[in-house]
Amino acid sequence: MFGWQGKALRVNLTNGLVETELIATELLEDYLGGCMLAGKIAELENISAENNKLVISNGVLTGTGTPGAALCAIGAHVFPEFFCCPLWYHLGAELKFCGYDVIIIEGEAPVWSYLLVSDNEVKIVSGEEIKGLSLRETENFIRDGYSKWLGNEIRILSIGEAGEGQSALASLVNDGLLISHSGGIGSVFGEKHLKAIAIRGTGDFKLAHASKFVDIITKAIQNFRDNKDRIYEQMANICEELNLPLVEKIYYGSEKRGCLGCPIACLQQKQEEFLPHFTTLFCLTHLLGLYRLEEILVIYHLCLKKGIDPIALSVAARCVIELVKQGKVKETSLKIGDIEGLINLITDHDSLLHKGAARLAQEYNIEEYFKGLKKELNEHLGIIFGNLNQVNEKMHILDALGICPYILLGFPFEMIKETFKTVTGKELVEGSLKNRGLKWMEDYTVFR
Amino acid sequence: MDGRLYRIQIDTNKCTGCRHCETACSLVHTSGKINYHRARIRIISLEDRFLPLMAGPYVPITQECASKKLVTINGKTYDQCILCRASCTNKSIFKEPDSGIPLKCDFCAFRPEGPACIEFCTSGALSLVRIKE
Repeated sequence: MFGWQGKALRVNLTNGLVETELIATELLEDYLGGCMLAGKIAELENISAENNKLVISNGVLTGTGTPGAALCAIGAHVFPEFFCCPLWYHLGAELKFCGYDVIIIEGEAPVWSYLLVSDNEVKIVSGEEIKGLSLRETENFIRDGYSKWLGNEIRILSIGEAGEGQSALASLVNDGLLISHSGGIGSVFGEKHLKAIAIRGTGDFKLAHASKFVDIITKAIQNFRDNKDRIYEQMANICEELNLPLVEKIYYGSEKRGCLGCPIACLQQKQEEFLPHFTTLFCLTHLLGLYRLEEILVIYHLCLKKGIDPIALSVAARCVIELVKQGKVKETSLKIGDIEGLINLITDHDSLLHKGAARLAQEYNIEEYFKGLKKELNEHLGIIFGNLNQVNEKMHILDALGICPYILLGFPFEMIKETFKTVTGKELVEGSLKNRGLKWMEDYTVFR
Repeated sequence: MDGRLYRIQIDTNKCTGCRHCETACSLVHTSGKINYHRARIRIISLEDRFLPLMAGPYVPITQECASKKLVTINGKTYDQCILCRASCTNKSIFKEPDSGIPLKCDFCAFRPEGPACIEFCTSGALSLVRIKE
């Protein structure tokens, strides 16, 4: 079989049992990978709030060198239902080189631990000292256990204080990059006493038609180079349409960072720290009314320090503001643009904010408002992909392939279909995938 | 390639850390497998930047190893060993992961198009520079 490794790793944190399982070829071919496969596995494993298993599912093309193919999906039951979101950066590729398509994590560790997957060696490393460490300290703690060369190659997915406290806003952090739109999954890590997952793989991944693959990618990259200016101009136009005047200021003097194999490299880093992505900026400005650079950075750094998803935070804060308006809560007087009030709610772990938007909406009966908010956010974020040819229809397929949708700014979907064929030796039949995994993709687009 | 002498110029300010060069290198050197541990170019993550490093010749570690000094670049101090591109016994990189055979950049001499890493690099961090007519 080409394209997939065909294996799943099952780890039980309660009893420390680690098993490698074979995945049925039909399942992989029908559900490809990413959120689509994670969703199917959730159904097969009957994932619920009670057993709350975590599923990591790789994209088919992740790690192959197809432009933008860096995503893997992570899913768990997050109130009120199974939720799945893509992880960027380099983790997915590392998992592929370990020889796995899927990781299923069950149970709850008796003490705080991290999971290390290094090729066939899988270890649950226990240590209460890891609890309470900041995100950077956690990464250093894990890397310091290895030589500088090995440490450099380990990819780490971790949680911060918010995840430990099982906040509904708890985000995941991938090698220093805050995964916005992963709100809630960090709390499942907290439930399991799982501080981090560290992955390093050294195995091979074989392609069905490698020389043809190289030809396609070389041509596509040449084409990208010829149109590079137009692509960045298009991205600037998107920011303008989203009305984000602060983008230029915030990214001034920053350096571009790319997920694995991404020529666009839309991540920005300054002084060794990732800056907020423009979808995050959109939420902080338009949902929370923070229009000053200093204010945005204060909130963003607080999110980074505590491991909070800024997008989930923005949506939850808007729900709190609505509750204040309706007179349904008395413990806060939060209003749009009130940065001090917001900081107070973020730093108080027992505050309403940490219940998350979905739970607040249900508890205080403002579900219609929450739905409206999601719709509004979706419409605005639709601007990002609005100019791209039929991208919304293809979003779930791109995700299953492990490809970041932004890549369509510079590469045609047809090229991706061709690479799928050269990697797997099979045709990508779009029609048959239409009704698979869409449910999660709806949520995914909301929080992106 | 046209028979003239070239070298690969590295601009660390432009490297985004996407590691497309590693993928390209492993693809063309391993008959269709992807495994960046088999690549002759590696992206080293420094504190504030990425450093593309091409595998140099195999060097056994001796008392006289020249790369034990500290080097200061743009006010940051680095261990010179990190910047050294030798495939040596002190490092886990630039070795075949299964056999441990040292790897060395061959400039993709077997490819008429030249080094694959440069073809795949879109950030401009790697470029081919002619050094002699």
